[in-house]
Amino acid sequence: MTITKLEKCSRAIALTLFTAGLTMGAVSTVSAGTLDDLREQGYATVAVANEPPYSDIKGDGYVSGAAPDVARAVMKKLGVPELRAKVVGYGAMIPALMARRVDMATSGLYIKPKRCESIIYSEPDLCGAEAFAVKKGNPLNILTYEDIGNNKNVTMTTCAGCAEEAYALERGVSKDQIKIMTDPPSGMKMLQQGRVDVFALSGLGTADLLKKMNDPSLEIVMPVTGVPMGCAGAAFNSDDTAFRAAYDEALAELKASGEFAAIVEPYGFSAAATLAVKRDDFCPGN
Amino acid sequence: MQEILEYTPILITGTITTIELTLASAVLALIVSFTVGLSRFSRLRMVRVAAVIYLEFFRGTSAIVQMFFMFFVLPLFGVTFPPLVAGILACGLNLGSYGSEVVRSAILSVGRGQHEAALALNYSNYQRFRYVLIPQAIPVMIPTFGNLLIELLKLTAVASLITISDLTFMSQIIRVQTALTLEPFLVILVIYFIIASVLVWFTKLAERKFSKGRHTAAAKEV
Repeated sequence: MTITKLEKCSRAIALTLFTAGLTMGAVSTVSAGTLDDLREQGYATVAVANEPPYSDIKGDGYVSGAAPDVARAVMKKLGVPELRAKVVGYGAMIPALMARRVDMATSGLYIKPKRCESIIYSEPDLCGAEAFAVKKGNPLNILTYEDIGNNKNVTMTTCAGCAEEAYALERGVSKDQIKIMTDPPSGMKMLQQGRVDVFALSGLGTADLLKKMNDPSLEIVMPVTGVPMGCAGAAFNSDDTAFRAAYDEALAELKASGEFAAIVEPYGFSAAATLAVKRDDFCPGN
Repeated sequence: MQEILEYTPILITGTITTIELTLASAVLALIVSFTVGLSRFSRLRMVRVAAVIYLEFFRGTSAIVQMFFMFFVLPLFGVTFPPLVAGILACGLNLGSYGSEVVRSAILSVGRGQHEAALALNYSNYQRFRYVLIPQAIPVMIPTFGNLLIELLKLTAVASLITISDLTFMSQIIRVQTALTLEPFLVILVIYFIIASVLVWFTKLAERKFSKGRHTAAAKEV
Protein backbone atom coordinates (compact mmCIF):
# COMPACT_ATOMS: atom_id res chain seq x y z
CA MET A 1 0.00 0.00 0.00
CA THR A 2 2.57 2.52 1.01
CA ILE A 3 4.70 1.90 -1.98
CA THR A 4 2.00 3.77 -3.87
CA LYS A 5 2.97 6.74 -1.75
CA LEU A 6 6.44 6.49 -3.21
CA GLU A 7 5.04 6.17 -6.66
CA LYS A 8 2.74 9.09 -6.19
CA CYS A 9 5.65 11.09 -4.96
CA SER A 10 7.78 10.17 -7.95
CA ARG A 11 4.94 10.79 -10.34
CA ALA A 12 4.39 14.22 -8.84
CA ILE A 13 8.08 15.04 -9.22
CA ALA A 14 8.11 13.95 -12.82
CA LEU A 15 5.00 15.96 -13.56
CA THR A 16 6.36 19.08 -11.88
CA LEU A 17 9.61 18.82 -13.80
CA PHE A 18 7.78 18.32 -17.04
CA THR A 19 5.38 21.23 -16.58
CA ALA A 20 8.15 23.45 -15.24
CA GLY A 21 10.12 22.72 -18.39
CA LEU A 22 7.12 23.39 -20.60
CA THR A 23 6.26 26.73 -19.03
CA MET A 24 9.87 27.87 -19.12
CA GLY A 25 9.91 26.89 -22.76
CA ALA A 26 6.65 28.63 -23.52
CA VAL A 27 7.79 31.90 -22.00
CA SER A 28 10.88 32.16 -24.13
CA THR A 29 9.42 30.88 -27.38
CA VAL A 30 11.18 32.68 -30.19
CA SER A 31 8.86 34.97 -32.08
CA ALA A 32 7.98 34.22 -35.66
CA GLY A 33 11.05 36.17 -36.70
CA THR A 34 9.22 38.49 -39.01
CA LEU A 35 10.67 41.92 -39.42
CA ASP A 36 7.80 43.61 -37.60
CA ASP A 37 8.41 41.52 -34.51
CA LEU A 38 12.11 42.30 -34.62
CA ARG A 39 11.46 46.02 -34.95
CA GLU A 40 9.17 45.90 -31.99
CA GLN A 41 11.59 44.05 -29.75
CA GLY A 42 14.45 46.22 -30.95
CA TYR A 43 17.01 43.52 -31.70
CA ALA A 44 17.65 40.51 -33.88
CA THR A 45 19.42 37.33 -32.78
CA VAL A 46 22.06 36.26 -35.25
CA ALA A 47 24.03 33.03 -35.39
CA VAL A 48 27.67 33.68 -36.11
CA ALA A 49 30.36 31.08 -36.68
CA ASN A 50 33.79 31.41 -35.17
CA GLU A 51 35.74 32.12 -38.33
CA PRO A 52 37.96 35.15 -38.73
CA PRO A 53 37.88 37.41 -40.68
CA TYR A 54 34.22 36.67 -41.44
CA SER A 55 33.61 37.05 -37.72
CA ASP A 56 35.90 38.52 -35.13
CA ILE A 57 35.25 37.88 -31.44
CA LYS A 58 36.74 40.21 -28.88
CA GLY A 59 37.98 39.28 -25.43
CA ASP A 60 34.84 40.59 -23.78
CA GLY A 61 32.62 38.59 -26.12
CA TYR A 62 31.74 41.41 -28.51
CA VAL A 63 31.29 40.12 -32.05
CA SER A 64 32.44 42.11 -35.05
CA GLY A 65 34.00 40.97 -38.32
CA ALA A 66 32.97 41.51 -41.92
CA ALA A 67 29.74 39.48 -41.92
CA PRO A 68 28.22 40.71 -38.64
CA ASP A 69 29.19 44.30 -39.50
CA VAL A 70 27.34 44.12 -42.82
CA ALA A 71 24.33 42.55 -41.12
CA ARG A 72 24.40 45.25 -38.46
CA ALA A 73 24.37 48.01 -41.07
CA VAL A 74 21.53 46.37 -43.01
CA MET A 75 19.39 45.78 -39.93
CA LYS A 76 19.90 49.37 -38.82
CA LYS A 77 18.52 50.47 -42.17
CA LEU A 78 15.54 48.20 -41.57
CA GLY A 79 14.83 49.81 -38.22
CA VAL A 80 16.31 47.15 -35.94
CA PRO A 81 18.95 49.00 -33.92
CA GLU A 82 20.63 46.07 -32.18
CA LEU A 83 22.16 42.83 -33.33
CA ARG A 84 22.70 40.14 -30.71
CA ALA A 85 25.28 37.74 -32.00
CA LYS A 86 25.26 34.17 -30.79
CA VAL A 87 28.46 32.35 -31.55
CA VAL A 88 27.63 28.77 -32.54
CA GLY A 89 29.49 25.86 -34.03
CA TYR A 90 29.51 25.68 -37.80
CA GLY A 91 27.30 22.58 -37.86
CA ALA A 92 24.70 24.22 -35.62
CA MET A 93 23.99 27.20 -37.86
CA ILE A 94 21.45 25.66 -40.22
CA PRO A 95 19.64 23.63 -37.52
CA ALA A 96 19.43 26.80 -35.41
CA LEU A 97 17.72 28.60 -38.28
CA MET A 98 15.33 25.77 -38.96
CA ALA A 99 14.35 25.46 -35.30
CA ARG A 100 14.03 29.27 -35.10
CA ARG A 101 16.63 29.44 -32.40
CA VAL A 102 17.94 32.53 -34.17
CA ASP A 103 16.38 35.05 -36.55
CA MET A 104 19.18 34.87 -39.10
CA ALA A 105 22.69 33.54 -39.62
CA THR A 106 25.72 35.19 -41.06
CA SER A 107 29.50 34.68 -41.39
CA GLY A 108 30.87 32.77 -44.27
CA LEU A 109 28.01 30.36 -44.91
CA TYR A 110 28.64 29.94 -48.66
CA ILE A 111 25.58 29.87 -50.88
CA LYS A 112 25.39 26.23 -52.01
CA PRO A 113 22.54 24.34 -53.70
CA LYS A 114 22.41 21.68 -50.96
CA ARG A 115 21.98 24.32 -48.27
CA CYS A 116 19.40 26.16 -50.33
CA GLU A 117 17.09 23.19 -49.91
CA SER A 118 16.77 23.95 -46.18
CA ILE A 119 17.26 27.70 -45.84
CA ILE A 120 17.02 30.86 -47.92
CA TYR A 121 19.82 33.35 -48.55
CA SER A 122 20.11 37.07 -49.07
CA GLU A 123 22.03 38.36 -52.10
CA PRO A 124 25.76 37.58 -51.69
CA ASP A 125 27.49 39.81 -49.17
CA LEU A 126 31.03 38.43 -49.02
CA CYS A 127 33.01 36.77 -51.79
CA GLY A 128 36.53 35.52 -51.78
CA ALA A 129 38.96 33.28 -53.64
CA GLU A 130 39.98 29.86 -52.34
CA ALA A 131 43.41 29.08 -50.96
CA PHE A 132 45.74 26.27 -49.88
CA ALA A 133 48.35 26.36 -47.18
CA VAL A 134 51.37 24.14 -47.86
CA LYS A 135 54.91 23.63 -46.59
CA LYS A 136 57.42 26.31 -47.54
CA GLY A 137 58.44 26.13 -51.20
CA ASN A 138 55.41 23.94 -52.06
CA PRO A 139 57.54 20.73 -52.38
CA LEU A 140 54.71 18.72 -53.95
CA ASN A 141 53.84 21.55 -56.34
CA ILE A 142 50.14 21.64 -55.45
CA LEU A 143 48.33 24.47 -57.20
CA THR A 144 44.86 23.04 -57.90
CA TYR A 145 42.54 20.34 -56.57
CA GLU A 146 43.33 18.33 -59.71
CA ASP A 147 46.98 18.22 -58.59
CA ILE A 148 45.87 16.54 -55.37
CA GLY A 149 43.59 14.16 -57.27
CA ASN A 150 46.40 13.11 -59.60
CA ASN A 151 48.82 12.18 -56.83
CA LYS A 152 47.17 9.66 -54.53
CA ASN A 153 49.95 10.01 -51.94
CA VAL A 154 48.99 13.58 -51.16
CA THR A 155 46.64 14.15 -48.26
CA MET A 156 44.67 17.28 -47.51
CA THR A 157 42.55 18.64 -44.69
CA THR A 158 39.46 20.81 -44.63
CA CYS A 159 36.40 21.16 -42.44
CA ALA A 160 33.50 18.71 -42.47
CA GLY A 161 30.75 19.62 -44.92
CA CYS A 162 32.66 22.66 -46.10
CA ALA A 163 32.59 23.80 -49.71
CA GLU A 164 36.26 22.83 -50.06
CA GLU A 165 35.43 19.20 -49.38
CA ALA A 166 32.93 19.18 -52.23
CA TYR A 167 35.40 20.95 -54.57
CA ALA A 168 37.98 18.29 -53.83
CA LEU A 169 35.65 15.32 -54.33
CA GLU A 170 34.29 16.78 -57.58
CA ARG A 171 37.84 17.15 -58.93
CA GLY A 172 39.05 13.63 -58.49
CA VAL A 173 40.39 13.68 -54.93
CA SER A 174 39.42 10.43 -53.26
CA LYS A 175 37.71 10.30 -49.87
CA ASP A 176 40.66 8.75 -48.06
CA GLN A 177 42.94 11.56 -49.14
CA ILE A 178 40.83 14.01 -47.13
CA LYS A 179 41.31 14.21 -43.39
CA ILE A 180 38.61 16.24 -41.72
CA MET A 181 39.69 18.91 -39.25
CA THR A 182 37.55 20.02 -36.33
CA ASP A 183 38.53 23.67 -36.67
CA PRO A 184 41.00 25.67 -38.77
CA PRO A 185 43.77 25.95 -36.15
CA SER A 186 43.70 22.17 -35.72
CA GLY A 187 44.02 21.81 -39.49
CA MET A 188 47.08 24.05 -39.49
CA LYS A 189 48.58 22.00 -36.66
CA MET A 190 48.08 18.87 -38.79
CA LEU A 191 49.95 20.57 -41.62
CA GLN A 192 52.76 21.72 -39.32
CA GLN A 193 53.16 18.26 -37.85
CA GLY A 194 53.22 16.63 -41.28
CA ARG A 195 49.98 14.68 -40.84
CA VAL A 196 48.65 16.24 -44.06
CA ASP A 197 50.28 17.96 -47.05
CA VAL A 198 47.62 20.53 -47.93
CA PHE A 199 45.29 22.71 -45.89
CA ALA A 200 42.31 24.03 -47.88
CA LEU A 201 39.99 26.85 -46.83
CA SER A 202 38.69 30.22 -47.92
CA GLY A 203 41.50 32.54 -49.02
CA LEU A 204 40.97 35.16 -46.36
CA GLY A 205 40.49 32.61 -43.61
CA THR A 206 43.75 30.90 -44.57
CA ALA A 207 45.65 34.18 -44.87
CA ASP A 208 44.37 35.39 -41.51
CA LEU A 209 45.37 32.16 -39.80
CA LEU A 210 48.84 32.08 -41.35
CA LYS A 211 49.43 35.65 -40.27
CA LYS A 212 48.46 34.83 -36.68
CA MET A 213 50.53 31.65 -36.57
CA ASN A 214 53.52 33.44 -38.02
CA ASP A 215 55.23 30.16 -38.94
CA PRO A 216 57.94 30.66 -41.59
CA SER A 217 57.79 26.98 -42.61
CA LEU A 218 54.33 27.41 -44.20
CA GLU A 219 53.14 29.32 -47.24
CA ILE A 220 49.89 30.17 -49.00
CA VAL A 221 48.72 29.25 -52.53
CA MET A 222 46.11 31.81 -53.55
CA PRO A 223 43.97 31.89 -55.58
CA VAL A 224 43.40 28.20 -56.27
CA THR A 225 42.42 28.12 -59.93
CA GLY A 226 39.65 25.97 -61.37
CA VAL A 227 37.19 26.48 -58.52
CA PRO A 228 34.47 29.12 -58.33
CA MET A 229 34.77 32.02 -55.99
CA GLY A 230 33.01 31.30 -52.71
CA CYS A 231 30.18 33.67 -51.94
CA ALA A 232 28.37 33.89 -48.64
CA GLY A 233 25.12 35.61 -47.76
CA ALA A 234 22.93 36.12 -44.75
CA ALA A 235 20.70 33.08 -44.22
CA PHE A 236 17.10 32.91 -43.06
CA ASN A 237 14.44 30.38 -42.16
CA SER A 238 12.74 29.36 -45.38
CA ASP A 239 9.39 30.82 -44.25
CA ASP A 240 10.84 34.30 -43.84
CA THR A 241 10.67 35.32 -47.50
CA ALA A 242 9.26 38.76 -46.71
CA PHE A 243 12.04 39.44 -44.22
CA ARG A 244 14.59 38.27 -46.78
CA ALA A 245 13.11 40.55 -49.47
CA ALA A 246 13.38 43.57 -47.17
CA TYR A 247 16.93 42.58 -46.26
CA ASP A 248 17.91 42.29 -49.93
CA GLU A 249 16.52 45.72 -50.63
CA ALA A 250 18.43 47.34 -47.80
CA LEU A 251 21.60 45.46 -48.75
CA ALA A 252 21.28 46.74 -52.33
CA GLU A 253 21.02 50.32 -51.04
CA LEU A 254 24.10 49.75 -48.90
CA LYS A 255 26.02 48.43 -51.89
CA ALA A 256 24.92 51.34 -54.10
CA SER A 257 25.90 54.02 -51.57
CA GLY A 258 29.45 52.73 -51.19
CA GLU A 259 28.92 52.09 -47.50
CA PHE A 260 29.24 48.38 -48.19
CA ALA A 261 32.75 48.73 -49.60
CA ALA A 262 33.74 50.82 -46.59
CA ILE A 263 32.69 48.00 -44.26
CA VAL A 264 34.17 44.94 -45.98
CA GLU A 265 37.39 46.24 -47.54
CA PRO A 266 39.24 46.85 -44.26
CA TYR A 267 38.75 43.12 -43.57
CA GLY A 268 40.39 42.26 -46.91
CA PHE A 269 37.26 41.39 -48.90
CA SER A 270 36.83 42.76 -52.40
CA ALA A 271 33.59 44.71 -52.76
CA ALA A 272 33.90 44.64 -56.56
CA ALA A 273 33.98 40.83 -56.60
CA THR A 274 30.82 40.70 -54.50
CA LEU A 275 28.98 43.24 -56.62
CA ALA A 276 29.66 41.15 -59.73
CA VAL A 277 27.62 38.12 -58.58
CA LYS A 278 23.99 37.38 -57.77
CA ARG A 279 22.34 34.76 -55.61
CA ASP A 280 20.82 33.21 -58.71
CA ASP A 281 24.33 32.36 -59.94
CA PHE A 282 24.54 29.80 -57.12
CA CYS A 283 20.99 28.90 -56.22
CA PRO A 284 18.52 29.80 -58.96
CA GLY A 285 15.06 30.32 -57.55
CA ASN A 286 16.11 30.12 -53.89
CA MET B 1 49.98 33.94 -22.66
CA GLN B 2 49.46 37.69 -23.02
CA GLU B 3 46.84 37.08 -25.71
CA ILE B 4 44.95 34.68 -23.48
CA LEU B 5 44.70 37.26 -20.71
CA GLU B 6 42.85 39.51 -23.12
CA TYR B 7 40.15 36.85 -23.25
CA THR B 8 39.71 36.63 -19.47
CA PRO B 9 36.16 38.05 -19.55
CA ILE B 10 34.79 35.32 -21.82
CA LEU B 11 36.74 32.66 -19.89
CA ILE B 12 35.05 33.80 -16.70
CA THR B 13 31.61 33.76 -18.36
CA GLY B 14 32.37 30.28 -19.69
CA THR B 15 33.46 29.02 -16.28
CA ILE B 16 30.30 30.36 -14.66
CA THR B 17 28.15 28.73 -17.35
CA THR B 18 29.91 25.40 -16.86
CA ILE B 19 29.41 25.55 -13.08
CA GLU B 20 25.74 26.53 -13.43
CA LEU B 21 25.11 23.75 -15.88
CA THR B 22 26.90 21.20 -13.69
CA LEU B 23 25.11 22.12 -10.47
CA ALA B 24 21.63 22.41 -11.95
CA SER B 25 21.96 19.13 -13.84
CA ALA B 26 23.33 17.47 -10.69
CA VAL B 27 20.18 18.41 -8.78
CA LEU B 28 17.96 17.12 -11.58
CA ALA B 29 20.06 13.96 -11.91
CA LEU B 30 19.79 13.29 -8.18
CA ILE B 31 15.99 13.58 -8.23
CA VAL B 32 15.79 11.36 -11.31
CA SER B 33 18.19 8.81 -9.78
CA PHE B 34 16.05 8.34 -6.70
CA THR B 35 12.76 8.40 -8.59
CA VAL B 36 13.81 5.88 -11.19
CA GLY B 37 15.98 3.80 -8.85
CA LEU B 38 13.19 3.39 -6.29
CA SER B 39 10.59 2.74 -8.97
CA ARG B 40 12.49 -0.43 -9.73
CA PHE B 41 11.27 -1.80 -6.35
CA SER B 42 7.65 -0.99 -7.07
CA ARG B 43 5.01 -3.67 -6.81
CA LEU B 44 3.35 -2.37 -9.92
CA ARG B 45 4.77 -3.98 -13.02
CA MET B 46 3.96 -0.90 -15.10
CA VAL B 47 6.11 1.35 -12.95
CA ARG B 48 9.03 -1.10 -13.04
CA VAL B 49 8.81 -1.42 -16.80
CA ALA B 50 8.62 2.35 -17.23
CA ALA B 51 11.73 2.76 -15.08
CA VAL B 52 13.65 0.17 -17.12
CA ILE B 53 12.62 1.79 -20.40
CA TYR B 54 13.77 5.15 -19.10
CA LEU B 55 17.06 3.73 -17.90
CA GLU B 56 17.85 1.87 -21.09
CA PHE B 57 16.83 4.73 -23.33
CA PHE B 58 18.87 7.44 -21.63
CA ARG B 59 21.84 5.23 -20.86
CA GLY B 60 21.85 3.58 -24.23
CA THR B 61 21.77 6.62 -26.49
CA SER B 62 24.49 9.22 -26.61
CA ALA B 63 24.19 12.41 -24.63
CA ILE B 64 25.13 14.43 -27.69
CA VAL B 65 22.20 13.08 -29.66
CA GLN B 66 19.83 13.64 -26.74
CA MET B 67 20.99 17.22 -26.45
CA PHE B 68 20.69 17.84 -30.17
CA PHE B 69 17.24 16.30 -30.16
CA MET B 70 16.03 18.36 -27.24
CA PHE B 71 17.28 21.60 -28.72
CA PHE B 72 16.80 21.32 -32.46
CA VAL B 73 14.17 18.66 -32.99
CA LEU B 74 11.59 19.39 -30.28
CA PRO B 75 11.00 22.96 -31.58
CA LEU B 76 9.79 21.42 -34.81
CA PHE B 77 6.98 19.91 -32.72
CA GLY B 78 6.31 23.20 -30.98
CA VAL B 79 8.27 22.60 -27.75
CA THR B 80 10.97 25.21 -27.37
CA PHE B 81 13.29 25.12 -24.38
CA PRO B 82 15.79 27.90 -23.79
CA PRO B 83 19.34 26.66 -24.42
CA LEU B 84 20.35 26.37 -20.76
CA VAL B 85 17.17 24.47 -19.86
CA ALA B 86 17.68 22.07 -22.76
CA GLY B 87 21.26 21.52 -21.63
CA ILE B 88 20.24 20.92 -18.03
CA LEU B 89 17.50 18.52 -19.08
CA ALA B 90 19.78 16.54 -21.38
CA CYS B 91 22.67 16.31 -18.90
CA GLY B 92 20.39 15.71 -15.91
CA LEU B 93 18.23 13.06 -17.54
CA ASN B 94 21.26 11.30 -18.99
CA LEU B 95 23.24 11.21 -15.75
CA GLY B 96 20.07 10.39 -13.81
CA SER B 97 19.80 7.11 -15.69
CA TYR B 98 23.26 6.08 -14.47
CA GLY B 99 22.43 7.35 -11.00
CA SER B 100 19.28 5.25 -10.79
CA GLU B 101 21.42 2.12 -10.98
CA VAL B 102 23.58 3.44 -8.17
CA VAL B 103 20.49 3.92 -6.01
CA ARG B 104 19.09 0.51 -6.87
CA SER B 105 22.32 -1.37 -6.23
CA ALA B 106 22.98 0.49 -2.99
CA ILE B 107 19.58 -0.49 -1.65
CA LEU B 108 20.13 -4.08 -2.70
CA SER B 109 23.43 -4.01 -0.84
CA VAL B 110 21.73 -3.41 2.53
CA GLY B 111 21.82 -6.68 4.42
CA ARG B 112 18.90 -9.04 4.15
CA GLY B 113 18.56 -9.04 7.93
CA GLN B 114 17.65 -5.38 7.83
CA HIS B 115 14.77 -6.08 5.44
CA GLU B 116 13.53 -8.85 7.68
CA ALA B 117 13.88 -6.84 10.86
CA ALA B 118 11.79 -4.07 9.31
CA LEU B 119 9.14 -6.62 8.36
CA ALA B 120 9.21 -8.13 11.83
CA LEU B 121 8.53 -4.68 13.29
CA ASN B 122 5.51 -4.48 11.01
CA TYR B 123 6.94 -1.48 9.16
CA SER B 124 5.01 -0.45 6.12
CA ASN B 125 6.79 -0.40 2.80
CA TYR B 126 7.21 3.32 3.01
CA GLN B 127 8.65 3.14 6.54
CA ARG B 128 10.94 0.31 5.53
CA PHE B 129 12.51 2.38 2.79
CA ARG B 130 12.42 5.71 4.57
CA TYR B 131 13.77 4.65 7.98
CA VAL B 132 15.72 1.47 7.36
CA LEU B 133 16.93 0.92 3.81
CA ILE B 134 17.60 4.36 2.34
CA PRO B 135 19.55 5.74 5.33
CA GLN B 136 21.84 2.74 5.22
CA ALA B 137 22.16 2.86 1.44
CA ILE B 138 23.19 6.50 1.22
CA PRO B 139 26.78 6.05 2.47
CA VAL B 140 27.18 3.32 -0.15
CA MET B 141 25.91 5.63 -2.90
CA ILE B 142 28.08 8.63 -2.17
CA PRO B 143 31.44 7.55 -3.61
CA THR B 144 29.80 6.47 -6.88
CA PHE B 145 27.72 9.63 -7.00
CA GLY B 146 30.96 11.56 -6.56
CA ASN B 147 32.34 9.83 -9.62
CA LEU B 148 29.22 10.62 -11.59
CA LEU B 149 29.33 14.25 -10.51
CA ILE B 150 32.78 14.65 -12.05
CA GLU B 151 31.63 12.75 -15.11
CA LEU B 152 28.79 15.28 -15.33
CA LEU B 153 31.19 18.20 -15.17
CA LYS B 154 32.96 16.85 -18.21
CA LEU B 155 29.72 15.97 -19.97
CA THR B 156 28.70 19.64 -19.92
CA ALA B 157 31.44 20.31 -22.48
CA VAL B 158 29.19 18.94 -25.23
CA ALA B 159 26.61 21.63 -24.44
CA SER B 160 28.40 23.99 -26.81
CA LEU B 161 26.60 22.06 -29.56
CA ILE B 162 23.38 23.73 -28.56
CA THR B 163 24.73 27.28 -28.47
CA ILE B 164 25.60 27.25 -24.77
CA SER B 165 28.92 29.04 -24.48
CA ASP B 166 30.59 26.91 -21.85
CA LEU B 167 34.24 26.77 -20.91
CA THR B 168 35.28 24.39 -23.69
CA PHE B 169 33.51 26.47 -26.30
CA MET B 170 35.20 29.64 -25.06
CA SER B 171 38.57 27.95 -25.43
CA GLN B 172 37.67 27.05 -29.01
CA ILE B 173 36.83 30.68 -29.69
CA ILE B 174 40.20 31.74 -28.29
CA ARG B 175 41.96 29.08 -30.35
CA VAL B 176 40.40 30.17 -33.60
CA GLN B 177 40.79 33.86 -32.89
CA THR B 178 44.43 33.67 -31.82
CA ALA B 179 45.63 30.49 -33.59
CA LEU B 180 47.20 29.35 -30.30
CA THR B 181 46.70 25.74 -29.27
CA LEU B 182 48.68 24.93 -26.16
CA GLU B 183 47.81 27.94 -24.04
CA PRO B 184 43.98 27.93 -24.24
CA PHE B 185 43.89 24.20 -23.58
CA LEU B 186 46.30 24.51 -20.67
CA VAL B 187 44.17 27.24 -19.10
CA ILE B 188 40.90 25.30 -19.28
CA LEU B 189 42.65 22.12 -18.14
CA VAL B 190 43.58 23.92 -14.92
CA ILE B 191 40.11 25.45 -14.53
CA TYR B 192 38.37 22.08 -14.99
CA PHE B 193 40.77 20.50 -12.53
CA ILE B 194 40.03 23.14 -9.91
CA ILE B 195 36.26 22.73 -10.32
CA ALA B 196 36.62 18.94 -10.12
CA SER B 197 38.73 19.24 -6.96
CA VAL B 198 36.01 21.30 -5.29
CA LEU B 199 33.44 18.66 -6.26
CA VAL B 200 35.65 15.90 -4.82
CA TRP B 201 36.05 17.85 -1.62
CA PHE B 202 32.28 18.29 -1.42
CA THR B 203 31.73 14.55 -1.94
CA LYS B 204 34.18 13.75 0.86
CA LEU B 205 32.31 16.11 3.13
CA ALA B 206 28.98 14.48 2.34
CA GLU B 207 30.51 11.07 2.87
CA ARG B 208 31.70 12.01 6.32
CA LYS B 209 28.39 13.58 7.26
CA PHE B 210 26.26 10.65 6.18
CA SER B 211 28.36 7.95 7.76
CA LYS B 212 28.63 9.76 11.08
CA GLY B 213 27.64 7.51 13.95
CA ARG B 214 26.84 4.61 11.65
CA HIS B 215 28.45 1.32 12.31
CA THR B 216 26.21 -0.78 10.19
CA ALA B 217 27.49 -3.40 7.83
CA ALA B 218 26.97 -1.09 4.87
CA ALA B 219 28.86 1.79 6.42
CA LYS B 220 31.81 -0.43 7.26
CA GLU B 221 31.97 -1.79 3.74
CA VAL B 222 32.63 1.73 2.47
